[in-house]
Amino acid sequence: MTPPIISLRHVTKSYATGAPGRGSANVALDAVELDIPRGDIFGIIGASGAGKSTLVRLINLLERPDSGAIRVNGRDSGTVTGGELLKLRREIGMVFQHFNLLSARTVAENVAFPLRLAGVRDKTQIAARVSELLGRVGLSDHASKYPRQLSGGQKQRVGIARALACRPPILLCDEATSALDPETTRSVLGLLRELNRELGLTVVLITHEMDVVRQICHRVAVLDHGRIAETGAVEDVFLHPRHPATRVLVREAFGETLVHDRLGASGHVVRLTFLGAATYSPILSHLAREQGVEFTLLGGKLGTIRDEPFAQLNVAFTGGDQRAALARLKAAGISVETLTEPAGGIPQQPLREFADVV
Amino acid sequence: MSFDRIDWVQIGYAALDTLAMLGGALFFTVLFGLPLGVLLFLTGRGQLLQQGAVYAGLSFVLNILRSVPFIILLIVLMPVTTLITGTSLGVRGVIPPLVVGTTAFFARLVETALREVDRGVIDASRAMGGTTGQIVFHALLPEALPGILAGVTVTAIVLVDYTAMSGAIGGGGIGDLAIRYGYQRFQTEVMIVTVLLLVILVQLLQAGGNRLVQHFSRK
Ligand SMILES: Nc1ncnc2c1ncn2[C@@H]1O[C@H](COP(=O)(O)OP(=O)(O)O)[C@@H](O)[C@H]1O
Ligand SMILES: [Mg+2]
Repeated sequence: MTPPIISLRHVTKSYATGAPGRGSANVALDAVELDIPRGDIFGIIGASGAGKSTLVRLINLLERPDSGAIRVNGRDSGTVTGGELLKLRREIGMVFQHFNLLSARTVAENVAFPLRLAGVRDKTQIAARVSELLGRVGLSDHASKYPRQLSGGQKQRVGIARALACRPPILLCDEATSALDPETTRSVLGLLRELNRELGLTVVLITHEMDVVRQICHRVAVLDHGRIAETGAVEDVFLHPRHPATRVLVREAFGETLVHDRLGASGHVVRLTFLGAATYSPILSHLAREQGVEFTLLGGKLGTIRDEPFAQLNVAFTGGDQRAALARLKAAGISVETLTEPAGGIPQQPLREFADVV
Repeated sequence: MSFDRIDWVQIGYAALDTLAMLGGALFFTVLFGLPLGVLLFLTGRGQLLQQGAVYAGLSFVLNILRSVPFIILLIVLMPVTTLITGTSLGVRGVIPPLVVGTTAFFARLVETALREVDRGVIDASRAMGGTTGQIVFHALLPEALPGILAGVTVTAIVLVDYTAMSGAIGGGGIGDLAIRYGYQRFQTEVMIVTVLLLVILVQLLQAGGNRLVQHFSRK
């Protein structure tokens, strides 16, 4: 396995609060351990004030940690200085929430800006690169416009083109879609996914919205009060959140889905999670027919993670051979969590009236 | 009152003198004030070259210069002026005190204009691997250009005011005429013409400045 392109070991960063010299320190990041695999779309999610932007500023070397080690693209960023530092910063393209474009420069000049900072002088070389980049982000017709003449989504595309100008292996996006409407967000995320696929770019997506993570990320780390609360594949973290902070973020994205107490918690209530092809299988009706288990839908969510469909349903079972039903669900690769067990244990024999029906 | 008595040639020369004082003083004010303003900005709290002591020291000196009334500055600086230009009279003699009088003011305007630049632009430039010099010349100054041009305009208008005042101590120009003829010899018509000329000059400067600011504003 290739080593991670970004890794943080026990990284701590605090800011002084109150009067200089006195006052307590505000711990923005606390002993953060993080590995970002090369070629991933990696989400870092957390509520406002969780320390996301601080993490970004440490990764792109705008600030130094109080303690701990940060490796970026094979180099220990704690030891680089001077020109090496500037070079390492160029290996990380940055995309910002508020675009941070030069308002006095045209779109083409904005995209050329990092090249000029990097000391590229050749005008034809710059022009060729700029037109290639503008083509890639779909703004070829807007090269000579000024940023204020563009929509938010177009501005962010300029921001992305600019970030890619020096061909960095890493693209770091801090709330890159937070100022955009849902439709524009989708199209910008689509562009990021395309860049990840076609250029092998590692994309680090910082956001406070689980929905953004759900749409394109492979893996995600949840940041809570400066600590990594949990990290894992998006499917796992999104569908089976363990940390309370993660649950809050998932709920924000999908609303409350647990309504099972309305039907009396005394029954047999399970949460079934279908992922991928299993989502389309008519297994519940099979259970009703073949195991005699009746089911009531109590709530749930349906959607996609990246392009993969999922369904997570809270279901109350009554009657039939529920044990066999559970075994059958598990065998079909459906995750089953028991929310409430019936008082007398899980029924095995079909009840009389169901036997009559069958 | 009779406008026939007015020596238009003399007024023409006086107007040229005023323009020369204005142009020369504005040139040197921008020459010294711009770098000072940039330094002031960069050494300020939370900025690229944060240097508390430098900022405080510079700030203190600029404040002193700004608090001395211009007419006092004119008199106090006479020996220095003679040393630099060889005279304390005429256009050349008046430019040094004019520059001293407005440089501090202009430096503050530059600092303010730079502070108006979106912080994100500096962050972005740093993240792209820009050096402090590159950030100043390629990002900060171009972004702050409209604000700086507005500052130049205000400074030019203050200079018109000061050139008129410097007439009192032999600086020449329109202000000098106004005082010598209009005030000391009671030729009210000269006073009226000179004041009108000054009004027109200020209006033109403001209109021109506005157009420039407009031209470079892309926000
Ligand atoms: N430059 C700074 N000076 C002082 N405190 C800061 C600074 N930057 C961030 N903080 C503090 O660090 C914590 C994390 O902030 P931040 O990283 O911006 O969070 P997020 O991006 O997740 O909203 C907050 O409590 C914030 O107030
Ligand atoms: Mg933030």
